Amino acid sequence: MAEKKVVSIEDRIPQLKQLRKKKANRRFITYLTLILLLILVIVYLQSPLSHIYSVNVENNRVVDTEEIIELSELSRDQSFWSIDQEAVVEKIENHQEISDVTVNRSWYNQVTISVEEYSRVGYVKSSNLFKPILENGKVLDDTELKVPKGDAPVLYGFSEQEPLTRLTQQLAELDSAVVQLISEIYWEPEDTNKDQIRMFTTDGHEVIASIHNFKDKMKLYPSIAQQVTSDMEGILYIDVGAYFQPYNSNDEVELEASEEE
Amino acid sequence: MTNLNYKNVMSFLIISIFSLIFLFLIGRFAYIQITGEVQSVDLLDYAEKFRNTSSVLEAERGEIYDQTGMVLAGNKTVYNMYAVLSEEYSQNSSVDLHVKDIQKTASSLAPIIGMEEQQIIDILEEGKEEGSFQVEFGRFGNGLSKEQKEEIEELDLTGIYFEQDTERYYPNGAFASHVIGFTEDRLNEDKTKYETVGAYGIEQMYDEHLGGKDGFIRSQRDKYGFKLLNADEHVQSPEHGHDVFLTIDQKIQTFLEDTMTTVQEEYNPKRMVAIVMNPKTGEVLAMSNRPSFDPNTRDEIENWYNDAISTPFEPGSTMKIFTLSAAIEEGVYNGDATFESGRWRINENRSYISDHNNGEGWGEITYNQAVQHSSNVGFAKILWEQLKPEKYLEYISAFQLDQPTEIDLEGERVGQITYTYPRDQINTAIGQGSTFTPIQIMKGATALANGGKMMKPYITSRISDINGNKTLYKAEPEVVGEPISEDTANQVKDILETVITSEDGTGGPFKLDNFTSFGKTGTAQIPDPSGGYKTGVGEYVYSFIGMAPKDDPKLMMYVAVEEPEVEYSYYGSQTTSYIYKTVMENSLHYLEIEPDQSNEDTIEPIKLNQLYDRNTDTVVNELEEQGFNVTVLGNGDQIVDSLPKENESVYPNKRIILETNGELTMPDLTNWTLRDVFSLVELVDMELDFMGEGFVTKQNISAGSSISDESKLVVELSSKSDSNEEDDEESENEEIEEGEEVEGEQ
Repeated sequence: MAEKKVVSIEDRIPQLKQLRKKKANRRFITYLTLILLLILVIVYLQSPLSHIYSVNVENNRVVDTEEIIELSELSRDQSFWSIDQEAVVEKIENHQEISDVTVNRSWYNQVTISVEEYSRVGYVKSSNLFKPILENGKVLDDTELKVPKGDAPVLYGFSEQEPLTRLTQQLAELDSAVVQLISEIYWEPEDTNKDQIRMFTTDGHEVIASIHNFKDKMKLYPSIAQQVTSDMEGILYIDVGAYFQPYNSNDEVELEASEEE
Repeated sequence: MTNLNYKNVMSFLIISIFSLIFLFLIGRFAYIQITGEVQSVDLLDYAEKFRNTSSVLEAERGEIYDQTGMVLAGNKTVYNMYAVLSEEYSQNSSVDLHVKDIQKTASSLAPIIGMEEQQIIDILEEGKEEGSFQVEFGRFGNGLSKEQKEEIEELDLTGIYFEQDTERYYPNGAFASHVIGFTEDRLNEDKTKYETVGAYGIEQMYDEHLGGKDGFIRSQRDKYGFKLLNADEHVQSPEHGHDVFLTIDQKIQTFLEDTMTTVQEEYNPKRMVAIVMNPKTGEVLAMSNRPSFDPNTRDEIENWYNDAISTPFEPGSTMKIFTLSAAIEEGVYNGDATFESGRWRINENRSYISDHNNGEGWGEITYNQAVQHSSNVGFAKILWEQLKPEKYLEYISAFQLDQPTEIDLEGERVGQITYTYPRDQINTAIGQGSTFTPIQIMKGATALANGGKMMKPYITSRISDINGNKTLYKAEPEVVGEPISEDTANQVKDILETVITSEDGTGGPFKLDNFTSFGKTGTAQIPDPSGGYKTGVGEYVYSFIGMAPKDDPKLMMYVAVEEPEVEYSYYGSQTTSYIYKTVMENSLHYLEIEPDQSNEDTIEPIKLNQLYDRNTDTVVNELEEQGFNVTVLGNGDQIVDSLPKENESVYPNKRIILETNGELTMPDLTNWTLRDVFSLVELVDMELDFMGEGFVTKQNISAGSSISDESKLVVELSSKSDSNEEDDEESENEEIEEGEEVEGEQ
């Protein structure tokens, strides 16, 4: 048996001592960092830094940005982290004119609300104010505007609800590019045609049409109107067939509407 | 002695005389016996004729049909009237069988057959005086319809009889007259009877097929006309004529005839030629000339030539199709290269070649533009500098413009190619100098429709027997050459399409509403008989050749109008474009070809591209190029907002309001609609007051003044009819009343 190397405990104590010291140090630092971090978090959460810095609203045209922010109930003293996205979406969607909402956090303190509005298919005049009509047929009684916006035609003279409903339905179904061309629509029922309407269009024509075939005829309108040159002034009839009657004349000019084929 | 002598001499003389007489008689008999002829009349035949009676069983002439089976030339039963005058005819009858009361007969017949009463009386009186058995009434009494015959029969006139006959008739009247032709009644070979033979056009060309062969019944009778017992009786049934089917389509031909007649009445041109062809097969679907004639009456036939195939003339610029094709096929054509148009000459010793606008030209233009403008200088340079005249001559041969098309019609003629001197060569390339027939040009142009393959034109589709059981002839489309490659054909089509669609193009008036097309106009000078070319107003041959639809041409049409009476020379193409467009549009619709283009130029909404943060001028230019009506607010150099917004789809007849980053200014709102005003107010965010309806007439802020969200705009609107009312109150009121009446009737 070889002689065992024996180190006395006395010799080893300083080493152990040092080791123990090291360990304690490390633990201390860990705890300290942790505590510091927690403090930082508390400080952040308590400071305005964690609050919503700004709310951006996108894609709205008819509903005011402030109104949407108000609806979202997001405020600047609210914590950025306490936003319940679903709840916000729900709240905003309650607005009659908004069809779809998405809420996104951006950066560390900004919120972007992107909305899709029901497009307005028209404005009806009641007393001296204008009420928007949405593509879903709803008349917004609460929203009364002194001056309509340029996003939809103004409808006049609809003393009855039924023709108005039929017209707005068709306006909603029509390609928005076509609706853009209509400025004003007047309901002017005749004995022979209760559906008769008169329109002014943004390309400068006065047009007589009929509600019952409004959509189908209006689809062709851009092409029909193109055949009327700008030097011709008169009324464009698209109620039955398609023809143009210059003012002060009884001559009719047949126009082609052959896209129907 | 003398007595004896005398007696002997006498008897010898007598014997001799009688012997001679007998000899002569025997000789004559022997001669007749051997030769069977007396005074060159064959006695056998004579006897046969005397004994045999035969009656003709007439063969029915074949009919001419169009492609769809409509009759173009048919037969109808007519009646020839005659009057029996001889009193003997009534001898054994209880009622009168001859004309008794000449006055009454004449007065009742006159209105029905359209002959002067006195004339009828003259004919009848004269016949009676001469003791004629019967008389006829010439063209008035011949060819009466069944209705006329029945009307006369109802009059119960004595001595008036009818003989049934068939007559050729052409139900459409003046209709492809030079093609179909007509028949004539001619005495047959043995001059015993008139028969109907083709005298012109298809009638003449296929006379053997159409005519058929008469049959007969032959029997033997005695002198008194009684049938001999046990006699032979021959019955030879007639062979009816064959039916000829043409490639002509009655509908398309009618479209063509009608429009040509309209042009004839309105512009009174000297001559017109038009052909419609199926360029895929070479079938001629319609062919017509003016002046024309009605084959039923054949009155006043001014022109005996089927000009479409028989009259070569200087075609003018339509010839440039072949020059262009040749240059592209040879790979020497560069459509984007430019040259100076106007006037040009080969060198100082040669005369100038001038463009058709009095040599003014259009400045420096590309060769593609040269095609659109139909620049003579451009094509002269293509020929002289790029293609070289010798090469072009090869292409004239390849397109077979130097030989007849061999269309199955008679009377085709070939023009004269003048190609000796440089000037001739250049002239040929631009369509002057050398002459070609319309059908030659059409044949050459079929190559464009068939990927370079050239079709032989034909007009007879088939010939069958009268029951349609047996087809004796059937035409097949025939490729007769491949002068250019498919690729070249497509390139030529593309360039020729721009002749019609481009703003510079000479073919603008020929644009079809519902179909894409391509083609080439031509305005050819007419050689003046006294030398040089005619220079008067409208004294040109206006022509056009075109095909549609462009990608897969179903119809090709050539039309040429010579010397229409127009106010200005450049109005001449009104005639050709009217004929071309009317016939092509109607025919393509009739053939149920799918329209590949909408007549309204299909106005489609355009999606607005990025507008914001871009340079104002660039955006405005872009939008205006797309056809938008653009209003710019302010003078900033960047666009910040707009209505309609970017990315929206908008029709080009919509106004687009652009907001720039500069100070905003008020636009002139005259004629704006309310909605545009709303948009403006929305963009600027100002206040608005408005009154009236329709279009803006007044604005409180004058155009050009600056505006901001603090401005307040007031506008007044009125409909245009209101303003017209003010101008012309009386007539407007009338109109409203009338308008109401009309509505009341509905």
